[in-house]
Amino acid sequence: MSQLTDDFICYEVFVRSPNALDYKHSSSLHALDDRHALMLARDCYTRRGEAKSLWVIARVNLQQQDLKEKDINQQNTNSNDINKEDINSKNISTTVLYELFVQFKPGLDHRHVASLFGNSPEHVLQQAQLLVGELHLGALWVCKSCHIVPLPFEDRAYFFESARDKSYRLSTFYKLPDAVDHM
Amino acid sequence: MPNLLLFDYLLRLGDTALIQGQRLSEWCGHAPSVEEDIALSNIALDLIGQSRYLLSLAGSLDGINQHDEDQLAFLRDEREFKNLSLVELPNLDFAQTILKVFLLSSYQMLQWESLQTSSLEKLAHIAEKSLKEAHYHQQYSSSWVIKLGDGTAISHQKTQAALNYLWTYLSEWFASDELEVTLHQQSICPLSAELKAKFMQQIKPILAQASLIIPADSAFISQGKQGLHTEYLGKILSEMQFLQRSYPNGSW
Repeated sequence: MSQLTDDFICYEVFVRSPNALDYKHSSSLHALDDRHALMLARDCYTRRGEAKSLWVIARVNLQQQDLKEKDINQQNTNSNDINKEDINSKNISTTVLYELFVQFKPGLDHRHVASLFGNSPEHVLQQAQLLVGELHLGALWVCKSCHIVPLPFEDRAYFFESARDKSYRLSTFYKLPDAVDHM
Repeated sequence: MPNLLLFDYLLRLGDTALIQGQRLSEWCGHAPSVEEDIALSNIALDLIGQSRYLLSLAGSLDGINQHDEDQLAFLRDEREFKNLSLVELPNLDFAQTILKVFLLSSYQMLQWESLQTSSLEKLAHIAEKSLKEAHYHQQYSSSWVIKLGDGTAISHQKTQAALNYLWTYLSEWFASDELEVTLHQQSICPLSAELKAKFMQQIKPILAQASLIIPADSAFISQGKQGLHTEYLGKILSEMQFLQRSYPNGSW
């Protein structure tokens, strides 16, 4: 297996819960390919009907903000010089759509907050820094929109269905003995 | 009398799902990674869920001594089980397990697809639900079949060996017997023989991508669905039924 496990791809899993509008980072897993990753994500992180939708993104496609750079960027936000110049000087034809994930505090999940156009992950991270300003204390992630692996369209209707008849996975399925109170 | 045939047919479907589910749950705690562990157990649970519906339906037929799903699962003897022989074979290694999931889910997809229009309405409902599940089992296992078959020299060799071994038990899947023909005439079930072409069409591209060679069909036809089993069924039943037989009607 050793050679095979080297081939595994590490994916980050993002889950949208039934009442939420945004995708929230849930966890990471190793999988063989996109399809396999979606399947494992469903079985591991949406077992109790906690998801309405799901994204997986290969970790190599996610760019995390360099925290050292963050301090520099934050200083830049005061003057804004470099960023403006940077945005204006880039050729618009090379811009693609990126997705931005923000961690509002260290320890909290990354949340999908916006889609931005940019020429490079670094460029988008700079823009993002301007956008969220000092609201966030955690790290920023960006990835190209095309690198998001969504559920195949025809599957959406019943992707999560098999979890629905497994009510024994919910704690409410079990009756507590009378001796146990204050739960 | 016709209900007896139908009873047997439902046992074939239900027992196949039950034993496959039981075999897969043996991986619980032993799979190569925790995600695989959960995925295999999840497939096992889907299958056991299907078998519950099917055995309940079988036990509730008119003219059959009323049995519930648990009595059927835990109190029948080896010869009364009507599962396909392939599912009772021991797991041996991961490649064989994956191939079993791949082959069976591909077969079940066709079976469920066709049973959706069964004249037995309750069975059609079960088919509709199970088809979706089988679809995912097949997708999950396809990724693995390709990876293992087209992986390292050792993984390829093990996967090919598993395919050669399991293929011996596939002839049974497409052998229609009198029972099936009778029920087919009442539009209750498809003829297994007619599923073969579609089955091959479905698995060929995946096996080709996995650089696996499809073995020749075996002349030997196993007879699990007639109640004649390999030596392995007895052992898995003794484990599965131990608690219910030692502590009848025990509950907790």
